[in-house]
Formats: sequence, structure tokens, C-alpha cells
Amino acid sequence: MPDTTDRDSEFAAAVQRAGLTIPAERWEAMRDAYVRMHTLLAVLDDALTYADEPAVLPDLVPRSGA
Amino acid sequence: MSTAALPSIAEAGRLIASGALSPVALTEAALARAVALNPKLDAFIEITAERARAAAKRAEAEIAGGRRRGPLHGIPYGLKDIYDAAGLRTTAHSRLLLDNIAVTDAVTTARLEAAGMVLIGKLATHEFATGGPAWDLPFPPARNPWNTEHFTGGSSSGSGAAVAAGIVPLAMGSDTGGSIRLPAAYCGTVGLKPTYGRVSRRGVVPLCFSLDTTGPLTWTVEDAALALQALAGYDPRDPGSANVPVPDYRAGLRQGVAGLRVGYARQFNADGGVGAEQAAALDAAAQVLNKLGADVIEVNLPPNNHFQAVARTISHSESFAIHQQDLRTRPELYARVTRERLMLGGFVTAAQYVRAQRLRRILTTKVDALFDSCDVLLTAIIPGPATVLQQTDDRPWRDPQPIASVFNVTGHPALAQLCGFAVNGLPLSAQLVGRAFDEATVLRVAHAYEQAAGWIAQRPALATLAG
Repeated sequence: MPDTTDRDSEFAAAVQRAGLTIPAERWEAMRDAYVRMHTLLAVLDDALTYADEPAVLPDLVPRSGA
Repeated sequence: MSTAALPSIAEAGRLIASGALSPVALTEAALARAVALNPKLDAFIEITAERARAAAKRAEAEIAGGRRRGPLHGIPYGLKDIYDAAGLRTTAHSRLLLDNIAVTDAVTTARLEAAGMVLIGKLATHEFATGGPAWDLPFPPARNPWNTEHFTGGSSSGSGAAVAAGIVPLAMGSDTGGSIRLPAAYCGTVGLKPTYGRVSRRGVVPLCFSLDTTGPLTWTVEDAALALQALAGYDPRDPGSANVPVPDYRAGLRQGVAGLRVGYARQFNADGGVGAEQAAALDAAAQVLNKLGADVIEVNLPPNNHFQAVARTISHSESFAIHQQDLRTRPELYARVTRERLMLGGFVTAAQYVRAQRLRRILTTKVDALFDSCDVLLTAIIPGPATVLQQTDDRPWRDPQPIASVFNVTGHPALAQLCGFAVNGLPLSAQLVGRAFDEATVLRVAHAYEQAAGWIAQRPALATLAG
């Protein structure tokens, strides 16, 4: 986990890249949300091999028993 | 016709078919209840009385002339205000769409109209079917009929309130992360999220293309079956629609559960942060199903945080893609809570989105595998009864996240239904989940439970009041 200063600058860069404007009085709440969201999303960093999932597409084909 | 809660679709249909009930009288009763109760519930954004009366008269004349279209003919319904109905506003409960008049019906609206149903109004939602209850919008948030100080759940908030209060026996909702099933659970109704692809989304304001699902909220399971019968079917102009045969959903409804295998995801109660009252109600529901002859076994779902990470990544990314321009150029038009939650999608990376889609498929495969050993799953849908409306979590990032999105990630059909009451008198709910496109078995098990448990005999005190 980066230190607080890194998170601040990372968040500021993300806001700028997204082209958004966040009022000063909501900055801390949004920064907190940003940190919490990326803490949850860290589970996505667990590596999958290419054999684990080769498609990256939703599957709408009816499955057995339907 | 009194101003008591409207009868179910099935009951009203029988009465209309026998000539004992007039669609005009039924519609007047629904309108009277809507007008009387809406000041307490804020369920409706717009009550379409004139249009409803005209439709009811048409239905009455057709039925009198021997041209009854089926069990929905002449029965009132409501639409979450993200569904287009030609000539009416579709506001999505937002300042941004106050002047948005629909030119044509959504496919789902058209199907209900073709079945002869009578639209009596557009229902409150969380803004753009996301965000949360907010007071900085053009319309107030809906209130829970069991206790109007409490939250309805969302985002199909008005739909849950209107059905629970007995104003309409059917209201349409949409479900991207639980938005049909959560208000159904908190308001004590039935809420059916069909399989992704089972019901068209065309003409419905989108939130997240690859998770959005449309479906009904009703008071009874049989009514959900009747509604799905009219709604289900392939739509070649919705690329997410699946060309899968639609069975007769009522054919097996009364076959009972003897010999069926119910997989109770009991471990999910702890993993999903489910409270003691709700967990005990689920245990009791499992016992009821067991006594009815089902073979109840315990099964384990993959970790909740995996589902939540996938759901949040996909949902935030896609909703941001939809709203990016407005968030940049006129953010002040959104409610604060909607704006801030939508903005979070701007902070998700492309790499995270792709990883989420890969993990989504793996989670779906793992849930599919559970159906090798069971016919339906029984799981929690809410952690406990509805919170006080003014105390809902309005932070940009909810913590914990709603657990309902598990089956949006996998796309399986899922139904929420009343399974008891908390000590404060508010509803508790159970969720039944089926194989993809096997809503029929979900409805069959839900109907058996509903009839055995008997909870639906209880309605909110407000719903029994004369208007």
C-alpha cells in the first residue's frame, strides 16, 4: 500500500485524467472512496494464467439443465 | 370495489374472466389508492389517470366483446421511471431528463400493453437506477409501506413501495446490482431478476450494459410467473438478448419440491455480513423446504469480495462511460450521491476492467458447477431489515457493498421473497437462484415455500387502510 502522500498525488492525477471537478469540501470524502474502492479491487491483481480464462466475454449460452 | 389492497394478478384475472370484476372498477381502485397513499409513500413520480381510464375502458370493451387477451388483460401496473412509455416522460428521477418524452414504448412496456395491462403511473427510482435515496432531486425518495420512516431499498424504490402497499399487483424494476431484489426484500414483495438476456432492455435507460436486467416485482410468486410469461422472449435489437425458448412458467408451479435439491449457501451469511435475525430466517426457510420434501444440502459460494470487486469494476466503468460527458460539463444537475458514485468509474483502469471480466467468467463457471449437485440455491439477499431512510449510507463508496450483486455477476436468475419479519416488524427475505434460463424451477420452489410459510398473508398496516 503506497503511503498517504503517494495516494494523494495518485488520486489527484486520477481526477485530472478523468476530466472531473471535485469541490474542495468533497475532496477528502472522494479520496477516501477512491482508496476504499482500490483496496477492494486489489483482488483483481491475482494473476490468472491464459489457460484459466481465454475469452474475456460474457457467456449467454444456456447451461445444462435449463 | 373497496380501496383495500388490490387483488393479485391471478385473482383479478380470474374475477375479470368470470365477469365478477370490471377492469374499469379495478383501475379506479388502483388510482384511488395511488392518490391516497402517494403523499405517505412518494412511490409515484407521475400518476397517469387519464391514460389509465382510457386503457381500462378499452380493455373492458374488448373483454365484453369476447376478445380477452389473457390473464393480464385489464389489470393495472406501474413502471419504474427508466422505462419508456410512448408520450410520457422518462426522467430516471433526474433533473437531466426532466424534458425527456418517450417516442415509443420500451419492448417490455409494449409487451405488457399488448397483454392488455393498464399503466397507472411512473414510479420513483434512485437517480439513473444508481446513487441512493436523495433529497436534492426533483422528486422525493420513496418510503417503505411497512414503516414510512424506513428505506425501501433500491433502486426500484417506488416499485417496491407500490406493490407492497397494494396499489398495483405488478411494477417493473431493473437489476444491475440488486435493484429489483433489494426493494422486493426490504418491502416484503417478490422480486424476480430473470437470467441476463431473458428479457429485453431496449427502451430502458441503461446503467451498465453487461449487467442490466429488467424484471417484475409482484406480491405473489404466481404473479411473477404470469408477468415473466408476457415479458420473456428474444429481442434481436437488444444484443444482450438470448434466443432461448420460453417455457410455460405456470405449468410446473404447483409441482412441489419433493425430490428437488436445494443448495443452501449458509457460509455466505458470514461472508456477506448477514445479521443474526436474517440468518435465522434463512435457516428456518431451509427447514421449511426440507419438510416439504426437498433435499437441502450446504454449498459454498466463491468469496464475496471476488464478486464485489467484479461487480463494482464493471458497473462503475460502464456507468461512467454513459455519464462521462454530463459529469464533466454539468455535474451540478445530478444529486450529490449519484454524482459522486458515478465519478468513481472514472478512476477504474482498463486493465482492472479486463481482469474483472475474466474473473467474472471464472466465478460464473464455479457457480454453474454448484448446479451439478443441486437444482436451486438458497442464499441471503439482504443483511437484515431496512434501515431508517435518513440514515442510509450516502458516502461515495458504500461499506459494506450490497451482497445482491453476486448473481448479476454470474447472470443466473434470482428471486427474492418474504421469509419472515424482524423484531421491529420489517420484512426479511430469502433468495432462490436457478440455472441460467431455468426461471421455472426457481418459481416452482418459491411458490411451494410461499404457500407453506404463509408470510404473504401479512401486509403492511398501511396497505389495509381504506384510501
